[in-house]
Amino acid sequence: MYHSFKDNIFVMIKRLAIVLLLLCWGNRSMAQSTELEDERFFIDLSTGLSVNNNSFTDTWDPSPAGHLNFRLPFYAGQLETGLRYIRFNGNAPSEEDSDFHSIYIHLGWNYPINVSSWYQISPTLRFGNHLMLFDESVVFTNNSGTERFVTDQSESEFAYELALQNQIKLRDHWYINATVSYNRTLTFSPLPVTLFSIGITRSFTQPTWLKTFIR
Amino acid sequence: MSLLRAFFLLLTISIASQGYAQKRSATDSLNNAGKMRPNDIIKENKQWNRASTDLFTYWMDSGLYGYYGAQPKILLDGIPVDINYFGWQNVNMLPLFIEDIKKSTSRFIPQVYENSLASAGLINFKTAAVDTGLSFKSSFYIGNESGDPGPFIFDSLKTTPNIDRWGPDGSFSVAYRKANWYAKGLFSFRNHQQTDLISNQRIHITASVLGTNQQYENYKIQTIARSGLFETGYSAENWNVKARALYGEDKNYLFLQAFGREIPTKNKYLQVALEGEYETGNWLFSNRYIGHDKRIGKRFPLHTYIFDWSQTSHTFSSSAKYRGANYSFKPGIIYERLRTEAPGIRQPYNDLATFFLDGRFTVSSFSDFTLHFNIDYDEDQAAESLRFGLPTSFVEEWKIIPELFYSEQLPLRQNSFPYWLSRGYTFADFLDISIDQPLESFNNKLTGVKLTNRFFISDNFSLELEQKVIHHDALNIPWQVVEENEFLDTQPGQFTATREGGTRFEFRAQITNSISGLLRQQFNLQLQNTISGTARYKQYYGQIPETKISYQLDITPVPNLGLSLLASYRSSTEWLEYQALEGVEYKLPSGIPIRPFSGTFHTKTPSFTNIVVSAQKWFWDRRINTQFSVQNLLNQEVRTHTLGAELFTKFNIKLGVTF
Repeated sequence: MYHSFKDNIFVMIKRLAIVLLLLCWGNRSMAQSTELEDERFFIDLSTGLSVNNNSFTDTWDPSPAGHLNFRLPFYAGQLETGLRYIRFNGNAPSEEDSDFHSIYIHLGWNYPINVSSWYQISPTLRFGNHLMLFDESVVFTNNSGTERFVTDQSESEFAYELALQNQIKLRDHWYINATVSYNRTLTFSPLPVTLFSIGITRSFTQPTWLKTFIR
Repeated sequence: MSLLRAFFLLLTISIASQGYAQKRSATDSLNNAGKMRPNDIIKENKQWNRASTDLFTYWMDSGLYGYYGAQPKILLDGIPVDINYFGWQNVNMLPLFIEDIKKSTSRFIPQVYENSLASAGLINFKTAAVDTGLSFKSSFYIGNESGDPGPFIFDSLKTTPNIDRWGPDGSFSVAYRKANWYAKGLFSFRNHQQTDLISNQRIHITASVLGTNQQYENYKIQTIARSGLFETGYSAENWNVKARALYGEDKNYLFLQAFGREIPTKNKYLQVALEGEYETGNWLFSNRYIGHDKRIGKRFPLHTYIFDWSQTSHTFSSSAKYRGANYSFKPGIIYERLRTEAPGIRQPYNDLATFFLDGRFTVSSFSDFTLHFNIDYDEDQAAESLRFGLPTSFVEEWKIIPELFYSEQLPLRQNSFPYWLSRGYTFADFLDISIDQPLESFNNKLTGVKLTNRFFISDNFSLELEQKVIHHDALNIPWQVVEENEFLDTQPGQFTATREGGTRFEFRAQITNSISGLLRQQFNLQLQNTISGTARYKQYYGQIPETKISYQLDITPVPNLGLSLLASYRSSTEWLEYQALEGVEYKLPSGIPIRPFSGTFHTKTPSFTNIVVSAQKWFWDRRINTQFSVQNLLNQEVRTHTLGAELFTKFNIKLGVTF
C-alpha cells in the first residue's frame, strides 16, 4: 500500500526535476523578459484532449476539457490559478453508472522564458483539489442483506500537475497558447491524465488594486 | 542522515552570521506556517506527549500523570475552560481564532496559574489585543488525506475504503475598540470524518448496538464541534475589568477508556466569567468569578442509553500580589461550588477551597529563591503542594534553575470516569463494564526534582538542558483489559482503578537559533523512561514514547511569505490493555463484495518520522492569508494508538481574510 504512494512521490520528484532542469536551461533567457509583461496579467481560455492512454483513461473516457486560467507576475515568475472541467464517461466494470464530472481547482507558479520576441515558454507546477462528482453512489450489500456499505457521491483528492506552456504572440494583448500537461491525482490507484490543450490568451494591464492585492 | 547534514549546515551558517543577530524570546514560536487548527498550536511545544484514536482529539500528558490521569488545564486568555469529559478533552470545541493566538504558554509542573489550580500542567492560549476601530476576520480550512479510491470505488475488485477527511473548519470574528473599551465576538466550527477503516466500522456498529438500529438510519460518522464567544473589557490606568461568555458544543465519538472504545456523545459547555484587576502602589489585586455548565448527553435521539451527566459550578478567586525591591509574594484563595447530577449520584454538591502562596526573594545579586505552596480542600479531604526553586545566574550566559516539588491531587480533581463511578454513577452497569473489586479513590502523590540549565551562547543562539525525576508515591491508574469481539473489535473486560507507584526520568535538550526575522530553527531531544515501579505502572507508561526528536525550521525569505519545515521522530509505544487484539485482523463486514481490504491490530505502535512542509503567503497588505501544508511527506505509518487511525500523507489548505 505504501509502495503505491511512494511511487507517486518519486514520480512527482522525477518530473519536478525535469521542470527544474528546463528552468535552469532557460535561466539565461531570463533577462529577455520585458518590463512591459511584468506589468500585465493574463487570462487563458483553452480546450484540451487526452493524448496518452492508460488504464484509467481506458476505463473512463475523458471528454474535451474546458480550462480557465489566470496568471499574474509573482516574485521571479507568475502566480496562476484556474479551473478545469472534464466529463468522464465510464465503461467501468460495475453495474452502476460511474460517470463523473471532474473539476480541478488549482494554484500554481510558472517561470516564463522568452525564446524570441513573439514566443515564450513557461515550465509550470500546479497543485490543487480534484473534485469528482459521481452520477450515483454505490451500495455494496452482503449476501444476507444485513450490512450495507454506501459510498459517497463526491470525492476530493489532491492532484499535482506539471506543464509546459507555450505562448505565441498574435498582436497586442492577444496570444495563442498551447500546453502539454501531466496531471496526477493521488488516489490509491493514481489517476494520470496527459492533456494537449490549445486556446487563446488575452493580456491586460495590471490595475493598481491587483498590484496592491498581490503585495 | 541527509536531514542531519542539512541541520548542521544550517547551524554552521547561523553561527557564521551572528553579526545579524537579533534576540527573540523563547516563546515566540507561533510563526510556523503549518499552524491551522488548535492542535497545531499545542504540538508546537514538543514536550507534550499526545495520543489519539481519531487524530482530531488528543489525550495529553505533561509528564506528571500519563494519559489516563488528570488532564492539563486549558486556559484562554488566562481564564480556564473546563472541556474535560472523563479525561477526554476536545480542544476543537474551543472558540479559537487561530491567527489571533499570538502566544501559547505551557507549564509542566503542578502550580496555581493566574488564580487557577493546575496540578497536571497547563496550556494557556493568549490572544492578540483588539485593534482600534471595527475589524472583521474570517478563515476557512480544509484538509485531505491521499489514497482515496476515486472512481475505482465503482470497481469492487479495485476499490479501497475512503480514508479520513478533515474539516471544513470555519471561524468568524468581529471586534471593536474605542480608546480603553473593546468588545469582540467569535464563532467557529470544526468537522472531522472518521472514515479510517480501523475505526469507521467500530463506531458505526457501536452506534447501532446502542440504539440506532431500531429504525435504520445511515448516520454519517462525523465529529462536529461548534463554539462561540463574546467578550468585552475596559482598561483604565490602574484597573481593568473583563467579562466573557463562551459556548462550546461537540457532537463527538468520545473514547471512553473504561468502555474500551468510542461512544457517541453530545457534549455542551457554557461559561460566564467576570474578572478585574486593581493596582495601587506595590499591590496588584485580582478577582474573578467563573460560572460554568457542562453536559454529556445522547448523540442521536434513537439512542437508548442514558449518559445524562451534567455539572454546574461557581468559582470565585481572589489574589493580592506585592512587589518589593528584592522580593514579591502573592497569597490567594479559590472557592468552587460544584453541583454534579447523573444517575446514581445522591450527593451532588462539592465545596472546594484552595489557599495558595507564591513568593520570590532575591538571595544575592545572582540568585533568587522561589516558593509555591497550595492546599486544596474538598470538605474533609485535603491535598497539599509545595515547590522550591533557586534560579541562579553566575554569569550572564548561563542560568541554572534547580527545583524541588511535592504535589498531591484530590480524587475529584482527577475528574476520571472511575471517580464518578465511586460516587454512585450507574452508567458502567448499562455498558456492561464489569467491576469486581472496589475502584480505589485516593489522593495522587508525587515528588519531583528538576534541574534546568540555559546557555545563551550568543544573542541568537541558546541551549537548554533539563533533567527531571518524578517519583509517584501514589498514582491512580484506571485500567480496562478489553476482550476481543468480531464485530465491535473490543468489548469491556475487567475494569480496575488501583494505587500504583514508580519513578520516571526525563532528559530534554533544546537548541534554538534565529537570524534576525529571516530564519528560526529549533532542535529538540526528549528521552523519557521508567526507572522503577509496579508492573501496572510500567505497563501504563509504555503508552508514552521513550524518545522524541524534532527539528523545526521557519524561514521568511521575503516579506509576506513564510516557509516551514518540521521533521519529528517518535519511538514506538505499547498499549497493553488491548493485548486481546494483538494480531487480530480488522476488515469490512463479511460478505460485502469488495476486494479483501484489511489491517491488523498491534499493541505496539510503530516508531515513525513525520515530515511536514508548509508555506504561508499574505496578500493585499496582509488582509488575505493563504496557508498550505503537506503532512507525513514520507507516508510512514503515523499511528499513536492500537485502535487509532493512521495519518496518510495529508494536504491542508487554509484561507483567511481580515478587514
